Amino acid sequence: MIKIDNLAVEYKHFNSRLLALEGVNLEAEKGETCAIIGPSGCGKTTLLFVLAGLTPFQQGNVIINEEPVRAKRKKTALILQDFGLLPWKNVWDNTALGLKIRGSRPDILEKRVRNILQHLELYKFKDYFPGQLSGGMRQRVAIARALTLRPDLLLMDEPFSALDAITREELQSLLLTIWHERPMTIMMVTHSIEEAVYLGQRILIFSPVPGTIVSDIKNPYFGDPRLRERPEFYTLCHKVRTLLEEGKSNGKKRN
Amino acid sequence: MEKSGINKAVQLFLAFIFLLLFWAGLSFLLNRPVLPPPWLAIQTFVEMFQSHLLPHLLQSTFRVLVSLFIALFLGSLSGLFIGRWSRVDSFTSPLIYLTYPIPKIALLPVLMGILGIGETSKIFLISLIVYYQILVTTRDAARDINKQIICSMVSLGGSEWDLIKHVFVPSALPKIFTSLRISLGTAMAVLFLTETFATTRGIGFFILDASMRGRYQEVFAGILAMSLLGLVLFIIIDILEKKVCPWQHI
Ligand SMILES: Nc1ncnc2c1ncn2[C@@H]1O[C@H](COP(=O)(O)OP(=O)(O)OP(=O)(O)O)[C@@H](O)[C@H]1O
Ligand SMILES: [Mg+2]
Repeated sequence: MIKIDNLAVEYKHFNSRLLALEGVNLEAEKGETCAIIGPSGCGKTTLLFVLAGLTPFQQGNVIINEEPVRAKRKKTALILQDFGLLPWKNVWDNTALGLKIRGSRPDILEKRVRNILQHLELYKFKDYFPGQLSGGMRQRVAIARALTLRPDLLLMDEPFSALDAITREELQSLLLTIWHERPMTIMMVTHSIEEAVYLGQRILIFSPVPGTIVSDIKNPYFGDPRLRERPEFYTLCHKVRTLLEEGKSNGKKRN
Repeated sequence: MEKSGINKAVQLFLAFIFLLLFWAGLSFLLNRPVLPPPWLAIQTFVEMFQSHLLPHLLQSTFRVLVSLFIALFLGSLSGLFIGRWSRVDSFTSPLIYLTYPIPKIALLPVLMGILGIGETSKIFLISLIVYYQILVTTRDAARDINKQIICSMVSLGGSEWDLIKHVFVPSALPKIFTSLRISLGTAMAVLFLTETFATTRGIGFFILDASMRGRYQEVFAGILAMSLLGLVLFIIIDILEKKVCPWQHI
């Protein structure tokens, strides 16, 4: 599904350059969920934007479903931490936006948006503006909008980090349910080790900038909605934390 | 909704009464014909409305409305364009910066020389002054659009036109309304001034003419008419804003 070969991304600052990603190699299967975790500023968002076709790269190859990555790939959906919703559109119009932009037939759009809003328990709020919703509901609308596109690749940048702990766990479970109903490839950047372990079939740990993948952990416990109650959960969290620390100190040596 | 509307009307009415009392008190203290008491002014206003004031008022309304529409249309269009494309911005911003402080009202005699003393020079001047306000507001609104919003739009498959329609215009709208409100006051002031030059129609002329003949009750009837025009426009802008930008009132 995803194949990244020796990817490097460089940003030009006014008169200097910054190497954000270097030597990133990654293969992910169809329907696999990958949690991406790493120190702040190491290039995680950059990687997502490359996969979304929004950031150009200087070196390497990025293939999605046998095709070179591009911005207007129809089955890629992107969910950002904030601001993904338009404050001037109500829940219905925000959800329908993607389909509308892609010129869907009105009857298909109606039906799909209604189904998804009902499924995510948002239908009652369809006339509300984002400013009238809680943070959790807003992010649910963003998820709803992404799902209307029937994506096979879902890119998420710290989608739940602005939420309180309880809402965050609710939405993590919701995402897991959605994935069980209709498996899609998910690449999710997170700052939370618990989230990575709960939602990642694989956990990719990044080094400090220039970011590269220093560990790729298979998560045998993935998929259990009650994973948080099992002791293995904490063992794995501990392992990830240790690897993160190691990645950081190795990064320091490298620089 | 209903209730707050009624409340607002009551508050406005009370404020109106208060202003009248203030005016009456001032007129009583001053005790000179130059400041007649409000009831005389209102009486004159009512008596002269149909026969004298209305034609002047219509002329003024026409001028200010046409100017506002022109300024609104051109100002938001060019503001959007400049704010969206930084290359245009880097060329035009210094221009705007340099010309913004020019007191455009001082151009009136020149404009009359070029465009003639008819409607064109008046409308041009009012439009020009309001245009600047709208232009700068819209440009800044377009510049300030959050990058994340643009990214999500592009990843949804949005074209440049989608961005303008779904992002740039709606995000600028509330700000355009605000600047319209602010520049309405300026527009009315400029309207008055242009109407004191080389014309025999318009509320500005009516007021000037009455004052030269020492008819102060008529002066105040004219001022009342002009204020009424401003108030009505203000209310229209308010109502439009509530209709067009409902997310601002939640
Ligand atoms: N548009 C840009 N122009 C220039 N430099 C950028 C740009 N975007 C990111 N960078 C730089 O690239 C590096 C990686 O940024 P990125 O946003 O990908 O990090 P991140 O891992 O997502 O960080 P965080 O965890 O804090 O969100 C940072 O040093 C950042 O300053
Ligand atoms: Mg980031």
